[in-house]
Amino acid sequence: MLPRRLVRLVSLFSRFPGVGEKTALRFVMQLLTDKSGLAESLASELSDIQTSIRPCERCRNLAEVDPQGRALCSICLDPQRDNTKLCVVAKVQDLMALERSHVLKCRYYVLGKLLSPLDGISPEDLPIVELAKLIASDSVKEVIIATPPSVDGEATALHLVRELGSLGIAFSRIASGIPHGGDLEFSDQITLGRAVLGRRPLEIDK
Amino acid sequence: MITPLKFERVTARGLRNLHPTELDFSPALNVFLGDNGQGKTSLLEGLCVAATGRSFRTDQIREVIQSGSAGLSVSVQVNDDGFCREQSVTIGAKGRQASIDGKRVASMAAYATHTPIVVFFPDDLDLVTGAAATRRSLLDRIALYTNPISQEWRLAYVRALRHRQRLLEKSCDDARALHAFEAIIVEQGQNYARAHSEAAQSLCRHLTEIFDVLCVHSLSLEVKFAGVELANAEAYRQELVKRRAGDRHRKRPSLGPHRDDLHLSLGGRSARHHASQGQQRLLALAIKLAELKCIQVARQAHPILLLDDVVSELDLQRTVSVFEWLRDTDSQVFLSTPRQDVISALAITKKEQRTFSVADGQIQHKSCP
Ligand SMILES: Nc1ncnc2c1ncn2[C@@H]1O[C@H](COP(=O)(O)OP(=O)(O)O)[C@@H](O)[C@H]1O
Ligand SMILES: [Mg+2]
Ligand SMILES: [Zn+2]
Repeated sequence: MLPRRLVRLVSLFSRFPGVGEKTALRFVMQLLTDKSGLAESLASELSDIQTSIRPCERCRNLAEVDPQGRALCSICLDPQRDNTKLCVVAKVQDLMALERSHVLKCRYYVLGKLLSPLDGISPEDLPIVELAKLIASDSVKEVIIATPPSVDGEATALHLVRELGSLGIAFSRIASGIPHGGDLEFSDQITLGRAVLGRRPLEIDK
Repeated sequence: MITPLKFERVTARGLRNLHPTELDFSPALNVFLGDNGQGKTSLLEGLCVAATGRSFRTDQIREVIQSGSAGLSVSVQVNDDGFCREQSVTIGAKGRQASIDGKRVASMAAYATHTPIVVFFPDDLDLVTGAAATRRSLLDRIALYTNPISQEWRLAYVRALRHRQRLLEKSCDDARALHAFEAIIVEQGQNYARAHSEAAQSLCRHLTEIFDVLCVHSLSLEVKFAGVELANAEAYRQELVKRRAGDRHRKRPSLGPHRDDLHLSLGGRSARHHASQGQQRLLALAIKLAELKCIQVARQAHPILLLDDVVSELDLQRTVSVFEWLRDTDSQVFLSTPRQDVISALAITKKEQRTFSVADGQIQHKSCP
């Protein structure tokens, strides 16, 4: 029914996560009927995406390759960033979430994976050597470990601290618990339990 | 105040061999009478699915869907201390979905604790005669109510334990990452072990009491929690390190709450090996009633009790003592039986009783018992 080219295009779109054949067909129809040059812009953006975007050489965030062929992300190029703190995250999406919060004005390091022997990710698969080099070259004083509060995230944090412990820097771990503006009454028991266990002392004003 | 909790009505479609069903219940006692293979257990199973998202008969939830049907949907109207809610579970092409008053619930584990139920069915004899895992899940279930976060402890503990085991079996010199998982095992394992021992304590207390009431010829029951002492974190951690080679060799972790058990003995002898079938059955039932009591105390509500074919295997005297126990409980009871004579025997419970006949997948309210 459908011209072969379109069948090919539909099957390409269907390879995206969360896109079924129906949605893929909607995308294709949109491309065919669009009058604003969508297909051309998309084609030119896509043609070299894998060569023009690479993991940042320093932190493995996504970065655009510059004319000299180097890839440094906008955060690593930003001179305003605090070099003494380094925040370690599991994936790029986590970095973006932290950036949106505007609480950290530091640099990052994206691990790209979490320790998980059950899924075939062993300690030697973690980029410990690269991380150690970065810490040394940037005169980092504190490493903030922002891996998720799961078994794998926790194990990764513990492993990093043990591996990097001899570098003579401070390590901290993000807290987990009730979201701000959240209602204790409606929090699930697990979150509430974590919040209580992770409580911190209050200073008394004198 | 312990609050009442009742199923007022059930609606079911695509459930085993049952025709589309809609039933209104008695708040006290509901009896399902019918020959074998007619659908009594299926109805109780439907109530269990509606309340917890799970079946007591199978872990393969799809088996519950009527053969030839695309899916299953059961809802119960629950009266919780005067407040009504509708809990529904559907199982179909999109998997399993649960909702309360039409709102989707994200976590099945959280859903399952809203309306606590306790089921006794013939396979529960395993509680006495079966492997330790059966008694451990009993403790897990009780802990889920007394201490809901224990579920998270268990999941984290088990995952960390499996990670460590995989590391051990895969390579021999990864001592550093082993340390990370062992630290988590110690933390979560201590929590999980504590949850087990608290659940066991609560169970022991109620179980000996209930067994005394049920047991006609008084037999002394002894219940002992069999778990290792892990209170000292540093000692626990060192023990894990010491056992690395052995655990690698045996291909399973040898220390921790995943091996906890309950030892049951009657008259000084192991109930598993030396008690008679009749005693074992009675003990299994007593364990279930004790579970009900534990949940009742923890939740301050009367869990709903489903008894599948409970009296078929008991002699007359024991049946009477079970019915006397039913007389004194405020839990709503659903009981299935193929025996007509049970209906009149249930009169000693002095409960508002509703009897339903079950035949070939059709369930009908008998207006006059
Ligand atoms: N998925 C299914 N679809 C249709 N019928 C089923 C299904 N599973 C079991 N059955 C049938 O349902 C009938 C009722 O079973 P059950 O509820 O165990 O009866 P009872 O408890 O009254 O003895 C049995 O005859 C069984 O073969
Ligand atoms: Mg049956
Ligand atoms: Zn970067």
